[in-house]
Amino acid sequence: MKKESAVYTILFMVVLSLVLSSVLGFVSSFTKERIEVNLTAIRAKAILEAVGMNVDEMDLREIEKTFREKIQIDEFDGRRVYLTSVDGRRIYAFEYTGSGLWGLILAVIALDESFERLAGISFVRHSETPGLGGRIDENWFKKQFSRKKLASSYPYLTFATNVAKPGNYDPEDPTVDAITGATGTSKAVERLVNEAIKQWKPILMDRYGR
Amino acid sequence: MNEKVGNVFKRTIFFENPVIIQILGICSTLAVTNKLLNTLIMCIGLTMTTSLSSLSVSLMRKMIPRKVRMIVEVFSIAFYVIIFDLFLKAYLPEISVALGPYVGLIITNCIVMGRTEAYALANSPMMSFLDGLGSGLGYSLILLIVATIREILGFGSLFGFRIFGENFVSWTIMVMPASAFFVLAVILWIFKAMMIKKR
Repeated sequence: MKKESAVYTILFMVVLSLVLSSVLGFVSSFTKERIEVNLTAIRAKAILEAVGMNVDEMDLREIEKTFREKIQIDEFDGRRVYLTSVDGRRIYAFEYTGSGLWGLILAVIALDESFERLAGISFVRHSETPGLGGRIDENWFKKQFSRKKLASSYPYLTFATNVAKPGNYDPEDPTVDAITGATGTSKAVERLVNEAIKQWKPILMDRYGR
Repeated sequence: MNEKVGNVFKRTIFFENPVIIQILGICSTLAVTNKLLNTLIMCIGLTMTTSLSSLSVSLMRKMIPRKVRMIVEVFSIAFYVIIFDLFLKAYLPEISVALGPYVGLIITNCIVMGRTEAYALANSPMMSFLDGLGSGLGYSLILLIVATIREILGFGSLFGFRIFGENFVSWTIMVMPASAFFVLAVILWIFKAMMIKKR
């Protein structure tokens, strides 16, 4: 068979594709379990963090264990709520996807039993610029939302832009400090948090309300 | 064409460095160099892909029909990149998240395909492997220099460890991709001047 003939070319490609894809299939099945464990753990970590637990020191295994022990999952109408109590208060956490500056942000937002106060928020996935918008992952930023009182109507939470010192940790003041140099991301997260609360607050109150 | 081993490295890392002489792979040079750790992982991925895909294309070079050679090259490149991506996801999940789509984009990095097309198709497997390895190292050398400068000035840290005190005002521009153009241009200038002297 000639090397440049059509039959040889097709045969060559078919054999090559078969070989390469079967090796890939093997590698993929070999790593699949681990990848799934990692993804679940990254999600579990964000949920634990949002409800107000300290996860900085935990490794993935501890996170999984704590998640299994402490968090109950309630599913209804295609929604999923993560329930737990921290210091005797019921906490309701949910996942919310909104757009960031560059791509989608998957956030976990937790409200406490009064529905007027956040327990905290955290981010599972985002594609903001590392070092600028990506700083939403940093503790100083996330800690601001801890036990934060919300305003009674929309917007529940405002982001302050003209402040010198970063971090507004007063839980009674419904304002957090935005990130310097990342106005786009700050605005996007502000919108995301407010939209999420607007959409979920009535649902949670309806189901778990006073 | 029988090149000496030492010459392959001298050529690929210095005199024909893929980034500063051939100006290839600029997209990832801008995108992943603001933190040294991410850059290092990216460089390992690219070096592995260039060397192994050059090796496999060279092994198959006598069997590949000419009209599908580029498809075959891309095939073998994609093959190694997917394996690398799976391993990152499985064993280094946090870095995998940080690098995002850029690992997958190694497939379209001109350096990888350039080496298979220009060198591996015409040379022995061993030499092609070394040529790919050298090109990967040449790429890594420049990226690591750019990343070191950008992380120090943009974050005040190296590999995530703070090296400047709290009062250090970080250069926001260094965190943005565009700053790599400035850093790269300065590096290019210095290297070119050095090479002109050497010749």
